[in-house]
Amino acid sequence: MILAAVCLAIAIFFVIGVPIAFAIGIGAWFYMLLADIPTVVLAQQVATASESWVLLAMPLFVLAGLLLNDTGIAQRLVDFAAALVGHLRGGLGMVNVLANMLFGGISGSAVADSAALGSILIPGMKRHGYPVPFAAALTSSAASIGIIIPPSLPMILFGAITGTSVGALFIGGIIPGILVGLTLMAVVAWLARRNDWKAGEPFSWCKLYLATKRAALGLGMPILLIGGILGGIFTPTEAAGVTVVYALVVATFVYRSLDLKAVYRTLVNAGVLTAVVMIIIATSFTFGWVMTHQQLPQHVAQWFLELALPAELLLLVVAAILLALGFIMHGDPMLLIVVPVVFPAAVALGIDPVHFGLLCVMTVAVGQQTPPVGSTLFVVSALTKLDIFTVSRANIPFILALTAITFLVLFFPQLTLWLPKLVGLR
Amino acid sequence: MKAIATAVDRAIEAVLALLMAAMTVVVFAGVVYRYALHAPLGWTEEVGKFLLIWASLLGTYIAVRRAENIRVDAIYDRMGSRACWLCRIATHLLMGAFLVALLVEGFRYAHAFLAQTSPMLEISVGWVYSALPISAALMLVATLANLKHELFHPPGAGNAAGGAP
Repeated sequence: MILAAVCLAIAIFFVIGVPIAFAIGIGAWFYMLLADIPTVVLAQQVATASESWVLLAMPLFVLAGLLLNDTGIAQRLVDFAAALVGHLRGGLGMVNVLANMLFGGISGSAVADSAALGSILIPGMKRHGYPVPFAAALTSSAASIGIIIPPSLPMILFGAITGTSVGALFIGGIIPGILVGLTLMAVVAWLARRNDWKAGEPFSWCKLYLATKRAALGLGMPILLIGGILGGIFTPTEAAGVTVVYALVVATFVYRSLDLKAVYRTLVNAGVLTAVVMIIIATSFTFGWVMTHQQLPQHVAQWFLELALPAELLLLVVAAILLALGFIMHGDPMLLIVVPVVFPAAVALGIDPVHFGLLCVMTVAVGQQTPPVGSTLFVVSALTKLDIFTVSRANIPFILALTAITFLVLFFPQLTLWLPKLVGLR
Repeated sequence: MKAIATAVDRAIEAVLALLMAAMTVVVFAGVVYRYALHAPLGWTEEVGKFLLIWASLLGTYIAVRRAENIRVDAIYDRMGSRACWLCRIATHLLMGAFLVALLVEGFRYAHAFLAQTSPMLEISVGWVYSALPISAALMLVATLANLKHELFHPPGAGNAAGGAP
């Protein structure tokens, strides 16, 4: 009863514009006051949540992403992608998807990807006569590959919430990420044929060689990162630290694009960008403690066990909830609220945590596209000065493609588990 | 007043930058010492976590100052200016009350751990947790300043003066 009242209060706080982190924290605090629980739990949970080795990967990947933004590495990856697939029909659309896949292998945030690549790709596509809403929509959807291909901030978050190995989640994301990329390219090819878009400049080995050489340092990064995790050389958190150093070295010594002042600004911005997520995590852990105190997750698990419902049904219910919430919420708070409640049920039904985690991340990718609240959607709308619904209309085929892969991941656990099992992470 | 606030913000930003840089160095040093020098440092994980607590909480203070905390604004943005103003006041009041609780409980929590030392470096854990009361106090002051600003700037009256949102 108290829990229901507190949930209602949190919903009201959301509506009147209380920052999400505080709305959740205040709700948890009210519960403690009403249920006569010592409020020191508040401090304890906030401290425990922030004191996490797994989550330490988050600020480091954010920092690496921001540093790389200043290096011009995005432009080099775009040039490389153009040399590789630019000659196809709908060439720049293909380039857009491939560049996002490559950048996704370095950066863990779709928002960062859409900002970095969108500012290069959207004007380029416009110059070549592509409709701007199409360019914006494609950039937005392709950027979401960034959280499916490792590294991925939502996977780190899922790992921190559930205790699932982030390394296994990262490796599990490779196949779905490539699948999403190929599917988006297929949609681009279909649209290109229908609208009779021309092919780009013809393919040339010489151009590819030059572009590869220029992009080598950017292309080497995902290999270093994934190789290091696969080889057991470092944990995802350490991989994040290595990535920051790599970015710093590349930026200062190779591309000479960074000065100390810029590094300082980037450090502060990365700190703030991480903090706004960390504080949501911290207060959500407090609220998670409240839900556990009410034994809500245990009850959910029990319902599913007692009714002898199949595991697929639970996955479908969870996917439906997350896809629906994705329209109105950002991915991080959504995962923080839903995952702790349903995860014990998933485990009880024998669903592999990596499979479950990848499904959740896929729904976050869709949620980043669906209006009125979609993080990459906001970025491309701001870049193009287009209304989010104009972009969303052009985005429908891509959203459908992303959703299709989400259900593929749901029904075929092999897609997410085969690779982690192959390398012994599962 | 404004000069002091700006100076405090600059100082906290500098500390935040330092914490972020330290995180990178500590985590990277952990990898280097284990694989290149074959002499694992036991304390990197511990220190990394401590840095994360401080960075998260001080970063949240900066986010409160810059009004950069993530909100649900789909509905809020569609309200009239007077309703918005009332919502902002309610928000500041709620946050203020919560931050008082966090300040008090954070202080008690940190105080309780003052005598306990961390396993590897034997730092007092109480000092690590003092990030809670310190950042809560900073955020409380910022929130009260926001509240005061709103109370003196109701919608319609002197909108031209503007000010922080």
